[in-house]
Amino acid sequence: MKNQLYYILLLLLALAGCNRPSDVQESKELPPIYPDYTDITIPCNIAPLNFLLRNEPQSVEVSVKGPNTEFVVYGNSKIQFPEKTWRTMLETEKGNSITVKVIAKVNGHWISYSSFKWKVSADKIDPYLSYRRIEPGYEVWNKIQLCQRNLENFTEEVLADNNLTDGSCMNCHIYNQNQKNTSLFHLRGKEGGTVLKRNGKLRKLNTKGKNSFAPAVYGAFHPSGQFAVFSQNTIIPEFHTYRNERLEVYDTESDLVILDFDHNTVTSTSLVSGKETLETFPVFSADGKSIYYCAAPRLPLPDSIRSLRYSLMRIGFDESRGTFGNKVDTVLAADSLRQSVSFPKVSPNGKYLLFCVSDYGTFPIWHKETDLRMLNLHTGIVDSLKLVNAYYSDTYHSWSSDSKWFVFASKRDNGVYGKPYFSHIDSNGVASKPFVLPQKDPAYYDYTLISFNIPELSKEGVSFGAMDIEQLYFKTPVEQMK
Amino acid sequence: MGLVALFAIACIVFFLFYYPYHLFFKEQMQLFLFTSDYSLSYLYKPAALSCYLGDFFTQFFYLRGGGPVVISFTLCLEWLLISYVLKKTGTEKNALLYAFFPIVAEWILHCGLSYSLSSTVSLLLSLVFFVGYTWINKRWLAICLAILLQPLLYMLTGSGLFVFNLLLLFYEYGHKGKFKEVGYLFLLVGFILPLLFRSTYLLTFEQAYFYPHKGIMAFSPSFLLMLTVWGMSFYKIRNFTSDIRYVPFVIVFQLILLGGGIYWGANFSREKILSLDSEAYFGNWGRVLHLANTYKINNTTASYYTNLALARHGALPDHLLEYYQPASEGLFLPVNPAASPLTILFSNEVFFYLGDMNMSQHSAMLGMIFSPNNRSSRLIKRLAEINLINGEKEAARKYLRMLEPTLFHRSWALKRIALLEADTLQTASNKWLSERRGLLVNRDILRKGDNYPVSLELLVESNPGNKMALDYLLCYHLLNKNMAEFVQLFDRYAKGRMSIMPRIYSEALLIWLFNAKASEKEVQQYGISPDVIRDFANYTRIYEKDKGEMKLLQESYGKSYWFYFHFANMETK
Repeated sequence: MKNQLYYILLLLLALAGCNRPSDVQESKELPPIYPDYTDITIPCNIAPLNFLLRNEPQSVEVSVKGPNTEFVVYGNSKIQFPEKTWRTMLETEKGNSITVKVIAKVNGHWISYSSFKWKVSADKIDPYLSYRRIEPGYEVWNKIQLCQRNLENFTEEVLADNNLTDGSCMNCHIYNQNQKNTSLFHLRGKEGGTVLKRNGKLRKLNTKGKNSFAPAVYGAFHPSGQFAVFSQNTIIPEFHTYRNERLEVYDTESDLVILDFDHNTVTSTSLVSGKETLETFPVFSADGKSIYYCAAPRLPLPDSIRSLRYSLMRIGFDESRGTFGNKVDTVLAADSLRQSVSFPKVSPNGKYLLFCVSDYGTFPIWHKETDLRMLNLHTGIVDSLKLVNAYYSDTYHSWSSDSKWFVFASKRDNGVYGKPYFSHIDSNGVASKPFVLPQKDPAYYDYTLISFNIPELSKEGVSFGAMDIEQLYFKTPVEQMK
Repeated sequence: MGLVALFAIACIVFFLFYYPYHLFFKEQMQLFLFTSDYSLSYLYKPAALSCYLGDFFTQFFYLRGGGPVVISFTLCLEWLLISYVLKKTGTEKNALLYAFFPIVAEWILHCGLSYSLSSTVSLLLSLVFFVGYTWINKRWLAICLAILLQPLLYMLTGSGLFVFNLLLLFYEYGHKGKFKEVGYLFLLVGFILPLLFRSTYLLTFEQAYFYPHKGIMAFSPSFLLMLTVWGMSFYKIRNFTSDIRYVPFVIVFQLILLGGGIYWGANFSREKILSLDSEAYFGNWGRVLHLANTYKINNTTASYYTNLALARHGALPDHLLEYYQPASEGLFLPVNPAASPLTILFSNEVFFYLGDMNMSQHSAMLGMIFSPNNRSSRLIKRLAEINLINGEKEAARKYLRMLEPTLFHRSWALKRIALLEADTLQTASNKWLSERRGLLVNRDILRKGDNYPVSLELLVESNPGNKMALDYLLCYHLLNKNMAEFVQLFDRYAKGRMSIMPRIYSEALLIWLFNAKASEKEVQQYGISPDVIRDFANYTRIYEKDKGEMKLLQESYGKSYWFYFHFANMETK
């Protein structure tokens, strides 16, 4: 019996050995891995960066080597790192660079590809990412979910599911300072409203004030959490005729309002609400003393759409009164940029402002040429983020709570389906090459028909779920804003 | 068994020759992938095994005859299982006969679009589990296992759990054993479990109890099964059903039920529409026209496909008014929140053949959003084609990659991948690609999704050789009686460029020229045939003489544009 076991063990070892690299050819090329995780900076708390090889190998061996750790992982065409080993490696190699070497058996021959690096940043990333999962259509929708993903593993929770709320549209889930205690999203539909989580309570608000022409659309919280600034937009979608330009969305009317959640009021000022100008995408500065937003002179639309360019503006905010200031400044003029600005987002440390630029218009996600830019608020220098941007649209972004990371939605893979990408900002303000949200199955993105919309980072997971939202939708009366 | 074989043949014949297109359509509205992630995704909802097997077998609906054979096989299996279950629950004789009632319901339900194979499999699985339950000799062990497996049963069969529990109740009562009251416990558990799982699966109350069924009628087979089992628990009924003298009457009654059910339950009008749609999808335009001529139905979607088939033959204006035309609504199908899912699904076809890739993509994307599981093999193929034509290689590659791990679409995808790799975008190596790209619009403007004239005019402007776009543009205005627009566009894009002018254009021009009191020279510039002019004179004479009396003109001029212009009612919505 003992001998039999011994021979079985020998046989297994021999079989294992048959599939180990031999007669390996060296290649100077990087391995054709997907997603592209080559030469990136990663947070020390990210989930395993599982990947696959595009050239359909029969066998793959990946060795991961750092100053303090070393291990090897095997696979067919997919490489899935064991989570425990991965976490130990990240913890041990904080601040170090690790080398990843891929050897693959392709068409019967072993190829050793050029190695690449992972720089393990000591900066953790906020561990939760929320986003909207939606198919990239327009005018009509079917299934929409707001989800929250734990970035340290592969767990995903559903925060809201429109299957439970009459098939209503839902969008724009935002946090106050990346914290779970105060968050908000819009839930449309007959029983819908703006869902506000604050002071431990879930509320449903009608954000269309007495003199407003529309409910709140794009916006952000004041650091105090008592206020939020929003745009109110009349949004018109139209279609391009040329090839893959697809959709154009513009506003025929848009103004800014302040929402006060303690007093349920909606206020504005003629400086940011008027017929002559279109104001949108407002966001508070890190200290809450001013509001950045985008504005463009109103033009005949859609005829003049290619001339419609938004500038980056700033107006003060009086927290004691909850009102807009009385002076508007132009921070970045569209004329000088020769581009249209959208989605300004200030880093929590007040140092940077990330924004999108596109050739024209106000709905950058459908513009292939949309890129990210970063304004240094102290020096006024605009970084073109060459390493971050790609051919297809790179849009909606969100900062981590320590301003060291940001996430954005990019369609760089194929121009149709957006995914969340992460980039690190070092102490010199240099952004790293972005990498996509890792999935347990690296082929996940190949077979999904869902876009990841409006990614937002948060330090803690929210405490409500889809059933709470269902309850709120049907059972909770809406609070009117005055 | 002879009866079962006869039924199988009848079922195959019906679905193969009389009702095949509903089955083709069901396959087109799903995409079954042989990947681990896809398989695991079934666990996110109850009835995981039922849905997985149902969708697995539905992919065979792709083959002519595949759907009929699959349905026939599953119904025969269900029939035999029900027969066995009836025997186990007390039916002494003729179990096979009475087991047919639920099968009647299944047949009728499969004639609908919302009833899927998953529902049949759910019932099948609950029967299989019940049979397994009855095979356990130790009753206490069987009951313990059944209790413990309740959550698993719900996860695997969904609402099939109720069938299992009800059968268990009848079985235990029939055996009059000491566990007969336990059946009520199972009923209670079966009622509570969906409530408990609702938050896990994120289902509404209705979905939690119905899944995988859609709608109350999907419970008909289960209901009839339970009714039969319950009825057989009475001695008098058992006695009656055992009597061989009543068998012929029961058979006749069942056949009447089946025949009547098919007559009322099957939607042969929709089957006709789906036949036009599927044959168009297969590229059999000649067959589409043949069917349109056979059906002659007054239906907007039928007109849509007829017009498309005519246009594919380059004959739209020549035969436009030989078919039902609901103004211009038979040329394009609406894509908006008020449109039906079927309409949205069909809407991309015309844009694709016209060359408007942007609108085709938009419609196809929305069509997929509204397919049952947000995946459609047909629409993914269309999206792959659109992006190939647009030169968006990575988008095309994504869709083609999705088709690779499928049984019946893989080879289609591999051919297109080869095409994609060979395509340099500068000059297309492939004739089909080259022709399609030749139709693309070369100027960009913004337009509303339902602004068809703007789209059509741009297509014609970009490629004057796009006859289909020109015909659609001119016919659009003719069908809406927009004479001024028609003439203006005709002058701009068609005047002097047609070797043979379609009669309908001549007829329309004559109306315009007559009303404009055009000179003979002006009329001659259009090159209208003297025969048409003579007919017009005759028509006008009769029209004026009889003060526009429709009946007198219908026989000779019923298919003319003059008749349409005078008598077609335009309703404003």
